[in-house]
Amino acid sequence: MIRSIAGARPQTKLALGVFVVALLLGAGVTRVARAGSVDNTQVSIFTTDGLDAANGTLRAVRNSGDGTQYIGCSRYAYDTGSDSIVCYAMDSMGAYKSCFTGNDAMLRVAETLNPAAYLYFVVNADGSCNRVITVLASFDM
Amino acid sequence: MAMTKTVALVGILGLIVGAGAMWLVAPDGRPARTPAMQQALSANAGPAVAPGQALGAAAMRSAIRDEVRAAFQDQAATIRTKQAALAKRPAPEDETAAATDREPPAPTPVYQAARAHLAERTAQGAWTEADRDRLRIALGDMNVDERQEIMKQVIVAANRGQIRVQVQGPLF
Repeated sequence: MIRSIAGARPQTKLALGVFVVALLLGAGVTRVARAGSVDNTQVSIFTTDGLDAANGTLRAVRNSGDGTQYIGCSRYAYDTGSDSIVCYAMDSMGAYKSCFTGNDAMLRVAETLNPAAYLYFVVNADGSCNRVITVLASFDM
Repeated sequence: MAMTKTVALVGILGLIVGAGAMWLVAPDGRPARTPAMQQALSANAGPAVAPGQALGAAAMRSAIRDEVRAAFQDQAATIRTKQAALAKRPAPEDETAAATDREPPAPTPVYQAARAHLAERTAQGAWTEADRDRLRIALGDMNVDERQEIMKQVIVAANRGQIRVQVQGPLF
């Protein structure tokens, strides 16, 4: 093989050289494009200060292999006057937690959700949301 | 060149120090004081206090006393004004009585049906897509309070594991 390359014509050698350089450049660019911290938080259900809580990064959860887990919030508005959200999460084992709120501040937080967001919510004993937190950061994309 | 810079710096420093001194000293050449301090000085210290001389300890104590007394008097006047305003407000007894007399509205049939359905599903221990769709439709016909109440009840049942969640996403 080495002998055959050494004996190749100059044009072939040039083409081969260009190919190798392009290959290395391509690999380098790809590596650079995927650089940076990545958050792969799957749905996790736990307790914090005695209250149920759940978290997860939407992209990582969507790309998980188990086909069971999910996390998110839904918005409800009616012409009779109520405006609220319900956040919910199911982990890979099928455990489920959800909360409900009409709190304006938490509604605004839920509005920031997008496919690359991280979501964390805590549930009061009566089913209302204790807090709703979203994170939009480069490592969630 | 260095000499020019030094001269300029000294000039600027002089301007700053001069301005600061003028700010601290009143136009008549004495240190700036509050009116109470001024009064105390003229009453207690007498003419022996020369212009620009530091305040005597007795005069300073007296001035502070006057300032504190004035501040307390202002605060007391404010509290009296607020109390008077509160006293003029109508007694809330009428409102309380009206609220007590007002009976809660009778639950709507759709709410009662939803509660019965939740009880039935809780007994069976499952919440399916059919349950979700059924409640989703019913929610639109409830009043605000009923809607919030049934939403919380279903969520609490799911969170406690009383109903096994067999839906993807929200429960309604």
